[in-house]
Amino acid sequence: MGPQHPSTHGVFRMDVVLDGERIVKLKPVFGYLHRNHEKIAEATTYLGSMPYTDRLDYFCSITNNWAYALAVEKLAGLNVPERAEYIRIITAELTRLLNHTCLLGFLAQDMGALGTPLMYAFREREKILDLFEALTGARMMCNYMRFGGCRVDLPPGWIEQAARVVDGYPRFLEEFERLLTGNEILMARTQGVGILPAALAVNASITGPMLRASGVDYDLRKTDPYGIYGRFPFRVPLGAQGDVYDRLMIRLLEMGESIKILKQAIQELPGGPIVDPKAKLRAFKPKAGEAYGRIEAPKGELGFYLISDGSANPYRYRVRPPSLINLTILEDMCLGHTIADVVVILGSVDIVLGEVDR
Amino acid sequence: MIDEGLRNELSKQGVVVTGFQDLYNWGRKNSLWPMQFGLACCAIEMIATAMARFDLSRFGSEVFRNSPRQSDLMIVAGTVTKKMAPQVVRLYNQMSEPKYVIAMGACAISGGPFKQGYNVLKGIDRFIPVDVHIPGCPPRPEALLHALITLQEKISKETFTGPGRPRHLDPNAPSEFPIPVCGPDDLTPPSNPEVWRPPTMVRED
Repeated sequence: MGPQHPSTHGVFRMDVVLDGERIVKLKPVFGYLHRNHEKIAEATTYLGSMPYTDRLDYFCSITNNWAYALAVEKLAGLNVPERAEYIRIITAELTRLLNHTCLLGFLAQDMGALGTPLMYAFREREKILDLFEALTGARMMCNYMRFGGCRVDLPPGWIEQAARVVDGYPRFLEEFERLLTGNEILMARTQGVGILPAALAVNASITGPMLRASGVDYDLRKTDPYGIYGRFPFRVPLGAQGDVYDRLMIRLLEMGESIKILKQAIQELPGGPIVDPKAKLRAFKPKAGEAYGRIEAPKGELGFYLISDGSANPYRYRVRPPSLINLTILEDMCLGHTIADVVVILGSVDIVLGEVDR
Repeated sequence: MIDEGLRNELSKQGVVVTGFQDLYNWGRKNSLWPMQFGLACCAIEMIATAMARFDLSRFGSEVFRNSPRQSDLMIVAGTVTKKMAPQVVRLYNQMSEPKYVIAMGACAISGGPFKQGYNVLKGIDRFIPVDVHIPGCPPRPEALLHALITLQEKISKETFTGPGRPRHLDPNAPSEFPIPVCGPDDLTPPSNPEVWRPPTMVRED
């Protein structure tokens, strides 16, 4: 199945052994989008690989920026000004809304709901993309974060527009929930399908909404707060069963929590500089050493591991991609289900092939 | 060939005079069926083009087909790696004639930001004929709409006969393109000389 298939979310291939329609064996085949991200980053300067992080998980370019910036900031010992921390949180949580919205649209599409949910999801996506475009100049590849802060300050009127988008979001969530979650077909297709037990999830180092759907309370924003997440009260929604339905609901609930964070951050946004004056963009050479920066990206723990030898480009550069690691247990979730369920289970894992293959 | 003045005069009276060729091209250019085929980031913008805000349906191309047999427009949206290139050419061969290709985004045109990578194809136009290239990383949905309009103009100017006729009306033109094979260190052949001729550098001394 694949690599060209409308429901593999990109160029992903699965070697499937079937007994009738039941899955007996499933082997994922990666590498159809391998773009040498890590090696290119080792050949360019620290700042030069920032645009490549945008193209890792192309739904969430800003959170990718943040993870990379965190790793470099740890390596070079830079501080981030208060205003930049708030802007980072606002943009990152908007990205989370964007990612989860699109995922739910695609998941519904995989179940055969052609058109409507995806249309609704992309309508909301455009609203957030308008914000990103006004801020960074690009719709998808928002190359926004810099070491020790952000690239540019918010344009005038941006924060009011963001507040309007955030205020309107709960209405969309309610609409989406009415459309999907009570739907009989959707429940039949998702409940009890693709169950991921908590023990297996922990052992396979699954992170993100997929782990929390199995009932494990692990969110880096709580367990290892980066930025200023410690100041925002929010709940970490947990699932019980770990089936596709739980994974779907977790994302809906998480969006509600993101809106809470966003509302508070927009209200409290302070003034001041947006970048650490110590941070140099050109001839940036951190001292020799190593650092690992990680964040709770919408898909799970996204980490960047860097080794510096004191030169202008990293000696070693490695990404810990949540999509790839969440995908490794696909076979365990799919065994015994039908081929139609595999499509739904794969959709609920939330993969982006740019990040899986890098 | 009808006189232009007479044609205008007749159209004022509500009579449309046209040739079979124009009618044929008009019908085809407004009913392109793209293949639902995404490779990377650009595919998301391709989907966005089909969604409510940009509304590809206005141009008669909203029917994204899942099967290459049912589609006549391939939008190569995203990075083509050397592992994926044989599949792209195979899908192109499976499409029904007359068929067109839009190379969407810097990666599909030339390898884009990943050009220096060992695994990224330096442009899909080395293997299949591309009709419209869209620059950008990724191009905005408006750019894809513009590419579609450009392709429609191109189709409306096609002739049935003569040296400039399109490939599907030329019995000597190839109907299938050779599928490259992953060799020990590169694709073999690395390009199709019938499609891609590298520009010759002229140096003025």
